Amino acid sequence: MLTNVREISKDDLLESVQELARTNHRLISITATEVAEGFDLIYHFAQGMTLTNLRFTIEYDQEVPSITPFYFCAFVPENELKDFHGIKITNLPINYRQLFILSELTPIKTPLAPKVAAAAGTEVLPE
Amino acid sequence: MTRRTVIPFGPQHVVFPEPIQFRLVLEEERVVDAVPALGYMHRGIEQLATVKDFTKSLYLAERICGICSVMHTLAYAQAIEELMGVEVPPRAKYLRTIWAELGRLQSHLLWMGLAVDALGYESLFMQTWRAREHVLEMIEFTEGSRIMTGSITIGGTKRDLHAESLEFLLKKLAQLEKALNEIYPVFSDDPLIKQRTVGVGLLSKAEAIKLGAVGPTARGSGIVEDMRLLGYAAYRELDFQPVVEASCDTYGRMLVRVKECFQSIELIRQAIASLPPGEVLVKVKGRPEGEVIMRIEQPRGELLYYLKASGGKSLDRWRIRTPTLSNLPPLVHMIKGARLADVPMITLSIDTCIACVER
Repeated sequence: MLTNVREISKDDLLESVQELARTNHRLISITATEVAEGFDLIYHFAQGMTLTNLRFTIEYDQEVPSITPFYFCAFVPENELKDFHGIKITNLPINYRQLFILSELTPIKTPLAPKVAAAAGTEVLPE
Repeated sequence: MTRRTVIPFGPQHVVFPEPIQFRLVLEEERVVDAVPALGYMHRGIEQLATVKDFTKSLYLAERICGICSVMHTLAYAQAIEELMGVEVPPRAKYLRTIWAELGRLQSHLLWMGLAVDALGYESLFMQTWRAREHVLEMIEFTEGSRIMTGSITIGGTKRDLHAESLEFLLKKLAQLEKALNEIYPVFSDDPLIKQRTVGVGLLSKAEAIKLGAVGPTARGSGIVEDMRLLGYAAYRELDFQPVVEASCDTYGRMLVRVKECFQSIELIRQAIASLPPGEVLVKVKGRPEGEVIMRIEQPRGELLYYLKASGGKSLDRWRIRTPTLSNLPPLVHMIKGARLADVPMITLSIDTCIACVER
């Protein structure tokens, strides 16, 4: 089961991440899951073998600040969030503009967020 | 003012078994910036799992990557078992450990061959892959095929190892160890290999943590971190310590992999010596519900799965974070400031697996 989860608010994200960076935590990744009215976001960190997860939800139109000022490597999962979910990230220093893993030829945009794709009028994979 | 040149490194390049591109910004022979470009083999596996039956997604997991196939099925099976509260028979845990270590051996030996081939050592490349052939024969004999074996399933394993198989494994392990003992001094002491790897592609311990390095890339920078210490499968009952090198360069990362081959042989011997009797599979009924994070040690480092299910036939979410994706930012850091001629070897030093990255 999911353990070591700290529920935070979006506004507390940068402060919480700064504290983890100060205490030598390693960023593992960021997971987004489309839920009823937006996205559930989990930021995974590790210190040694111990896992720490920061969790909060955002609505569809909300933007998330980039954590690259504290973890430059976050540009990788943050570009994935843009590709697969269409989540807007502010102050992202390396922005692939939704062409990080997907390409211009990919017929399905935001494949892990079908509601976002439907709202944008792009093709949606069948259920 | 020094003239800057941008050259594409990949997606088709002699050191890349799979396609990835780095746009290298050069000042004369020195790399001043590198931008990775992905997207050549994305298959949408995470999305497909949200419509496929969760039992069939096991086969999807196996097909994320040919080289790490056993690791992906192990992680997926363990994650589903944790969601459904399934207790796997002890013998199956040991069998999973044996096959996972055989997978690590064939992956490391594949990398060792490719690495020395990139340095121009054709003979050593062939000797390394001849040693790898022992591993593939062990996998074929005990699992039925050489790459996509399908031996691990939800609830245990599909195959068992009998006395004849165990005897074969021990015989082959001795042959493999002999072959590795012959080639190890070349990897560790050859002056030309050292000239091309010592002090090349530096990544300090602090930078490795900050940039999210995992696996041999992190352990080559002095970080004592190995997901097998979490004790999944039978690792809790086996005696081992992570292989760590503190040189923080391409040489250190290479030595970690070479030494881990000996460690894998020892782990398999330990597992065979203490293999418990009994069943290898329990029947699993019902559907998964809840959330779980599963972390295991792939040959290239930490693999993280996040699974979410709500009692339906398919998963709501299957997040796959593979080690190469984590090692990309450290790689970009290592390339910056390197000579163009060293870029192939530095790139190889993280053991890129693009099928895993793009999934």
